[in-house]
Amino acid sequence: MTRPIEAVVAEAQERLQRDGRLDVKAFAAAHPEYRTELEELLPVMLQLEQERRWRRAEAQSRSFAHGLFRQLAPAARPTSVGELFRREQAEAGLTPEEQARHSGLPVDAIWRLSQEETPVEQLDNAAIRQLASRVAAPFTALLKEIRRLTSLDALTRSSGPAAVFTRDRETSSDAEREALRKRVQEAARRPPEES
Amino acid sequence: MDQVTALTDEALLNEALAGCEEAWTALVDRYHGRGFRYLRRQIQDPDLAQDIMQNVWASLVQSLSRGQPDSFAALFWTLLKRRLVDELRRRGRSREAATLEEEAGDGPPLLEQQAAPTPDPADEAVRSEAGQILREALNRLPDHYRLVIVARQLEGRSNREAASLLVAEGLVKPEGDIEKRVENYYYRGLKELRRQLTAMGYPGGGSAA
Repeated sequence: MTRPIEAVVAEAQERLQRDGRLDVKAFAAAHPEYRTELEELLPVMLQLEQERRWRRAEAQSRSFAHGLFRQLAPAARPTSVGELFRREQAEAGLTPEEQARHSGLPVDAIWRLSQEETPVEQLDNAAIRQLASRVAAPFTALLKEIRRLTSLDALTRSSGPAAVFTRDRETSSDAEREALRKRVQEAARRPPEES
Repeated sequence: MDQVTALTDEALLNEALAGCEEAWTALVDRYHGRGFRYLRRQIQDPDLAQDIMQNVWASLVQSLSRGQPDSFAALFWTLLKRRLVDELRRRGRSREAATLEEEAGDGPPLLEQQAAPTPDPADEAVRSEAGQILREALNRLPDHYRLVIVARQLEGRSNREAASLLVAEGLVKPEGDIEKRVENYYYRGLKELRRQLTAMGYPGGGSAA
């Protein structure tokens, strides 16, 4: 008994969906009773399949691009001065007293700086001068310490294969970045040079 | 969201860099579709277009980590053009790559113009696009045919899911063998789609991809 054309077309559609391709000539030849009609309809089905692939590719690459926010935002999210100081205390295992000794800043200033919410991105020399006055710290020592900590911060927060630019140098591999990070951390543990 | 989409590229980028995910999404949506349509006119392979677009966005984010561009649009279109030209060369299509570079000699604005989000109906390049014609032909189908073809073929849904949609949309009554009706609508819809494509002057009613 001959199958209805609807069932044959449905079979072609299922095969196309499963395999992602369909040999129109071979399929039509296997169903000679509907050959002419299948040779007319199946190319339309192939075009719909191509449209489906385009839509999927568009949606997937759009979703990929949306997801890149996770890479964009951490590198760009403003860091406060307090975060910089607290992060070093946590990651390098330094007490505020040790931080004070290494940086040449008073301990009380370290405590105040650890609570400071001003975004680092907003700091220029004038702002650092005001901050130094507010926390009762020597301007030069504070400037030097903030520069060092922001370099360390950029290294620690960067990820992926991209080259990482810090204020002092550029590195382009994870190994180099890690080595540089260690060097900066070791420098943080050393007593400050006599000036 | 309306407030976000009304912002300039640079304002959106600043918001995104400040941690606003909605701004980043809006910026991506502003350029992604246009970039993709542009690629679709240049290459035949959707998987390759996906690779190129993902590569462009990844490079763009990498570039943003090194500093903000003067123009987001210029950065996007320059990266897209560069990736496309590289890909064409890699595939031995040097002449097309050279033509593309020559055509785009004036830089990103020309490319952007070619991929404008609201195409002029008189624009032959857009009208000749297979996907655009197919969408127009689908829109001319009766609702029940269109729903079944879109659900089964474009969204990859099963007969049962397509049947549920037909009922939910009130296009059939929930009685009898609805899945059988889906098969029937699919076949008839395909025939009608071919008729529409032929009427629209599409040679072979869809034989070209």
